Formats: sequence, structure tokens, C-alpha cells
Amino acid sequence: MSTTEDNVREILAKTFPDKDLSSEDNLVTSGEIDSMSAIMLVGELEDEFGISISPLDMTPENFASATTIAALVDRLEQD
Amino acid sequence: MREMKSKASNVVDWLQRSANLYPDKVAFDDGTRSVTFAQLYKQSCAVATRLAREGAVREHVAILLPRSVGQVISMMGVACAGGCYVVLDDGSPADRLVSIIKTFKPAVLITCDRTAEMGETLLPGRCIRLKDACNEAPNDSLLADIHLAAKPSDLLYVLFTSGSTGTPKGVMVTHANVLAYVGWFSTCFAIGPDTVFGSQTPLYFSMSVSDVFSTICCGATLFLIPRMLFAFPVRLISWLNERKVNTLYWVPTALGIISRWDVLSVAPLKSIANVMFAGEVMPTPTLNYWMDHLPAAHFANLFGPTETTDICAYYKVTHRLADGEPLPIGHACEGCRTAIVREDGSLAAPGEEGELYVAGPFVAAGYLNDAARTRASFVQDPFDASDPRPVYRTGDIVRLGEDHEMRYVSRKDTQIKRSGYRIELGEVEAAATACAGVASCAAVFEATKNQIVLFCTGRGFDSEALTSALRARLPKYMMPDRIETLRSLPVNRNGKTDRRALLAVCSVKA
Repeated sequence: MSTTEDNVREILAKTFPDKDLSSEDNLVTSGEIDSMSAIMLVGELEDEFGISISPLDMTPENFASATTIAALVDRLEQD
Repeated sequence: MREMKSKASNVVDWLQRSANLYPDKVAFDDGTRSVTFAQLYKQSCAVATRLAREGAVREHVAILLPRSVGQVISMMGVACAGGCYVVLDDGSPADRLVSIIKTFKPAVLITCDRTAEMGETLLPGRCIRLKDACNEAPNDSLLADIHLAAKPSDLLYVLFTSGSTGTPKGVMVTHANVLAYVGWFSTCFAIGPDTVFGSQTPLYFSMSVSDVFSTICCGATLFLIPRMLFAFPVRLISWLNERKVNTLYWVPTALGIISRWDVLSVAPLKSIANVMFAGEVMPTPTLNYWMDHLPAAHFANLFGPTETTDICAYYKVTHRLADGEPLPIGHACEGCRTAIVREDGSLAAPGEEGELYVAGPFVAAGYLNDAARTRASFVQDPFDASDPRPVYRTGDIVRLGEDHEMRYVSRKDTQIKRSGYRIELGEVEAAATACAGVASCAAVFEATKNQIVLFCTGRGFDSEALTSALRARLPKYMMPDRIETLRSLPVNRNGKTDRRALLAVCSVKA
């Protein structure tokens, strides 16, 4: 696992404290992500990685799991 | 159209009429399932016949289903059986559902595969699967008999709302209430067969009564927006555009998600013509964002409690307000009467603050099995001793502006609105007090941060145990954002908990 994914996992643990989310879990289909947690999560990700997440990046595909979120972060960090 | 509406004496009349006029038009669609008006009527008759077979004619029936077309079929099925329904929140903790069931005392509970297990614990042996009920052969003559015996004063549903002592209050709403209220809503906003709703509010909240029943009344089409889409706002916009949604009736928080992400700059809405909102204060900057992006659309602020079916006053936005200017809540709905009343019971002068009282056919029939609270809030008309119809004291403090439009000031009590949800802080406190080790507590609402902060005193409880105790009793939307422990709660000169002092503590600690 890359360090980005580790950090993302930590942030997820903070945003969803009662859930035990493995990289296989789908945040979207499990219904975990709702509008309030999405806003919180994006806030944390932007602060932690110094990136700017546009509404166009807010897709179920990008936010399906820690792995996909880490991939999004990596992409945005490169910009 | 207005005359036709008033000829109806029961919401089933509306469904029958729309099924005759628009049989193959999509009435409701939740993304998985879709029903036309003819199908909705037929399935409602099937469900009603099944309920009758269970002995549940003119009875209380509870509905425990996820957000879906199935909820609407169940609601109308109960109505066709002459009964009164409650739509339960399938995300509510078990304790809260048990409390509601205890007050509502349903004869039957409608469930589906997903909710069947919970259903069995709530009402063992008295659960019916919706899909089975839809397969029942309708008994037309029985249904006709039931319909003939129906009265406008019959209850249609009970809607449970947060109770300050911890037990949810059940607001009883009649067919007459819904006919009058939806008659107003659909006329005021020109709802018709061309209206396409993108419905946001859950079906266990009063706002859903407006779009669901005006759809049934007017032959409109209603798409239930999957909750998940609010986390993915650009997806939400595409979803609305694909379905040519032209009318929104949302809580301001939902509209705020779009403006916060500046979604409309990258993903414009193509078909929206009408945006109505209610349930909480609408921040003017949010409204201005929407008006800037939809210059041709009509916007309206609606205001009212569940106890007046949904709304009692409204304000159609006619001009752009400055970002810092609060939006008026407007004037009484046509057919409804409001009064602003001083503490001594006399009418407030224009500009003066007072409690909003509401009279007229939207006023609900009281709280289920709670004569004391009903007496306290549904009172004799203070200005007309000869009128026996009760007047509802909203507990909202308002004042009349120079433009004859009312403005909201505050609550009289500790009820708050957060993200459109009505929350009695007392209900949060009751849940905390139930945790072993908590000696006393007080919940306050920091409006600027939209946060509920819970202060507790006592020994022998830890934050984990307290959070579990709260989760067992409160739906997610009522959970406090922060929990602080104090040695003792500050007290004011009257010996009551000093909530202002607690709010001051909040801002220091932040």
C-alpha cells in the first residue's frame, strides 16, 4: 500500500469512526457516504493533502474506497 | 381545475381521478421501480384488499420500508382501506420505533425483505410483505363500500415529530387537512400534469406531503431522489436533467450543498422552473446563488409546522435581496388564517414580536393519545369564542414587516431546526439522561456553526458509553456534534439551567 492510501485510511477512520472499512468495502453502495460525511471527508482530504477537490471530482467512482480516493488524491497532487 | 379539486372528499378520489385522466403517465419513480397512475391505483386496491383480509379496515397501519415507490403504494393502500398510516424511518434506532409503535398501536405493519426482521421485533406476527400484498386480487365491491363510508374528518396519517420529553409526538392529519392544504399548494404553485418533481425529503417528514399529494391530485410526475446523490452533486444535476425535473421543493441545506460546491457553474440545470424551500431558515446568499444561475425560475420560501399539515405562510421572491437581508416568511396561505399574539394574549401591533397562531383547515387534529399536549397547543380561537375549530400555537416568534410580510424571529422554546430536521433539544437531553452515570445535562444549539452541543455532569460515564446510549435512542440527524463534561450546569436567577451561559462556554471552547 502507498503512503497516500495509509493517510486516506486514517482520514476515513476519523470520518466514519464506527465503521471498519477495508479497501474492498464500497463506501457508496454501503450507503456510508452521505452529503454530510462527503463534505467532511472532502474538507479533511483538502486540508491533509493541500489539494482542491472540484465538484466534478465528486463521483461515486472516485469515492468508492480508500484505494480509489488515494488514486484521486495522487492525481490532484500532480496538478 | 379548482372546482374539481374541491369535489374530492378523500385523497382516494384524487388517485381515482388521475388514474382515469392519466392512466399510463408515470406517477412515482425511485430509480429502481416506477408506477403509472393506473398501476398505483390498482396496486393500492390490492394492498387495501390484503389489509382487509387481515382485518385491518379503518385501522392504524404502520409502514416500514426504505425510501421507495413502495412507500407511496403502501400509503395509498392504507387510504383505500379507510385506514390511517404512519411512515416509519427505516434508519431510526429500534428504541425510537418501539416508542412510536407503542403510541400508534398499528393493527398491521407493512415490510419488505430488508425490513422484515426489524418488523417482526416491532409487531410480531402482524407483518405483511408489500410484494405479497400487491399480488392480492382487488375486491372492488368491498373497496367501494369502504370508500362510501369514508368521511373527510377521517385520519389519513400520523406524522411523528420530536418530543421535548423524549417521546415523539404524533401529529394526526385528516383527509380534509390534506385536501385543503394540497389544494392550496397546487394552486399557488400551478402544479399540473406538466410538473416534474425531484423530491428530496423523506416520506416520514411533512414536506413530502406537499409534493407526493400534489402529484396524486394533479397528475404530475415525482422522482424520488436517491439520498446518495446529494454526496455527488454533479451526478445529482445530471440525474435531474435526464428526467427533465422542473420543480424542486427542498430544505435549504440541500440547496446549500449545490451552492457550496458551486456545482451550477460546471453543471447547469436545464429544466428547473420552480424552486420552493421550507424546513429551516434559507440563507440569502444561497438563494442569491440559485437565482443568479436560474434567472428565469420562480423561487418561494414556505413556512409552517407539521401541525398545519406542512405550511401556513409563504413568500414568493419578487426581487433580489442583499446577502445580509433575511428572507421574509411571508403571509398566510390563502384559506388559512394567522395571528401574531403577545404573551398576554392580545394581538401584536405591526412590527411587534409575538407568537404565530394559525387557524383554518390546515390545522391538524391534535397529538395522538396526548390530550395534555394537544390542549396546550391546539387552543380555542382567542379572537372568536364562537368558532369551535382549534387554533394552533406554533411556538414560533415572528413579527410583521412594513411590507406586510412576516419575518421569523426565534423559537419560544428549545426546539431547533438543523438541516431541515425539527429537533427538540429536550429529546436529546432525555436520551443522555438515560445513560447510567449522567447526573444532569443540557443541549444547546450553536446556530452559526449548525451544531448541537451536549453538556453533561455526573461521574461513572465515559464518552463511548454515552455515545452508544444516544445512538440507541436518537436518529442520526439528532445526534449532538460535541459532548462536553462539566462539574455542574450553570444556573440563572430563576434557578433554571442557564443556556445562554452554556452557549458562551461553547464559543470559548471552540
